[in-house]
Amino acid sequence: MNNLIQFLQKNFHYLLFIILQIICIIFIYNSLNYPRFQLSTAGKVITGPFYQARYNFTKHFNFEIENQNLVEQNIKLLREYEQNFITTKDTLISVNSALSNEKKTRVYDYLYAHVIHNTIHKKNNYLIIDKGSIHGIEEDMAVLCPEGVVGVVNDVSTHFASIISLLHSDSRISAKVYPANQLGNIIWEEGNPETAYLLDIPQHININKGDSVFTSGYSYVFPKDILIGTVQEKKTNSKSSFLKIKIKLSVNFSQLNTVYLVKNLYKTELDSLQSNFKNE
Amino acid sequence: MNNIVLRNISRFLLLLFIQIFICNYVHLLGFINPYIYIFALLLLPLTIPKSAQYLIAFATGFIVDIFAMTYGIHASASLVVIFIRPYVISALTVGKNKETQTTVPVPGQKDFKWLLIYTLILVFTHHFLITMMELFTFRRFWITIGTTLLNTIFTTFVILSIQYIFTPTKKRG
Repeated sequence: MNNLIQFLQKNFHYLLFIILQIICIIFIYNSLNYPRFQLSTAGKVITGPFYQARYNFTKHFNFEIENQNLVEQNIKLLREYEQNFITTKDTLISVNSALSNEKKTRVYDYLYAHVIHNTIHKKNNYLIIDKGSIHGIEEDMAVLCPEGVVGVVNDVSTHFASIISLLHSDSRISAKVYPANQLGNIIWEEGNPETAYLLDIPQHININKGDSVFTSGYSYVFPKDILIGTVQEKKTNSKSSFLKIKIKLSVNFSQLNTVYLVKNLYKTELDSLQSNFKNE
Repeated sequence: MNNIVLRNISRFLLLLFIQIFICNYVHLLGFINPYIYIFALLLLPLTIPKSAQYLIAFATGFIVDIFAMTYGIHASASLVVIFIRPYVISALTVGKNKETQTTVPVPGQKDFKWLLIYTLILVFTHHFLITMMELFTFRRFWITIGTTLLNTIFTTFVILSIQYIFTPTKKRG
């Protein structure tokens, strides 16, 4: 008996090794079937907070790629908007088009760019974006951002383009105010980068604070129904028969980053029509 | 003595942290996944009772297991590494005096060749066991051996780099 105890004391570590290995084997064996789920749920209670902490730290490394993906997805969704198309209905119903006699023609296409330079406090404000003619940017393209209208492309170089911001004394955008559904023009006056003015609305039109102002789509630079801002204040002028309406712009121009550029696919056609007007 | 204990504990915690949060996500070329926590086991002082060494190895492996969701595999491999470690050391120190056997294997006390062979043998054993237990099959055995070898070389390289970077130069001798 004494010998046995001595033997065990001397070789206890071998015994422990074997016991621990058996425990391991039991674990491995069990992890092959049902108890695996039990163990892993118990494990997740412990490991969850650690993974959460790691994710909170590492998520910042992927923002660039994630942003890129989101922008590309946005472009895809923007292209699907109803106002990008002209829908024509054939009056003749042919046998082939029995299912649908609607024909959709794309008018607007979208590109994206990042703002690399931006001013808001000058009299005439410009933006510069990181894409130019080799990326397909052209003059007079409309510039939007997720919150609304930003401006119009002014000048294009090979890799960059400058944009006349809405905050520019020459900018003039055809707009519609809802629910009155009345056409007007947006201008900006030096001073406040958060507000602009809606002109050419007759006095008798009923406009309330909080009414939304959208693009009209008549200029064919901007697609229809893009938000510009909301009515903030209505000024009546006894000399003029038109209202001057102060508008709170929906875009925060100091925080512009990604912008979307709108390309009118029929621009040359429309331009030639307009030049005919001028000649007459 | 106290200092050595503290250093070992902090080394274990640091290596486990690196293993769990960084190395488990490293997949070089798709299959090289270094298990550098084994470095802490390699540096475990030989003066600790063997039973305690086994328990430490088991606990270390099991913590890695919990995070990798491979219950028991790392624990088992770590145990084997600790089990064969004294035999590897005695086999490598043939002809030298017994005194060197009881010290911790760091660059100051052993030359580079000794450390390289010591690390290679133990890391290979560890990686091989893990790969075999994970796959649980002898199919494509030589491919498994090949990837294990590459993984071993990478882990050994990392371990020796750490060892030589963080050992003070005056100790190297």
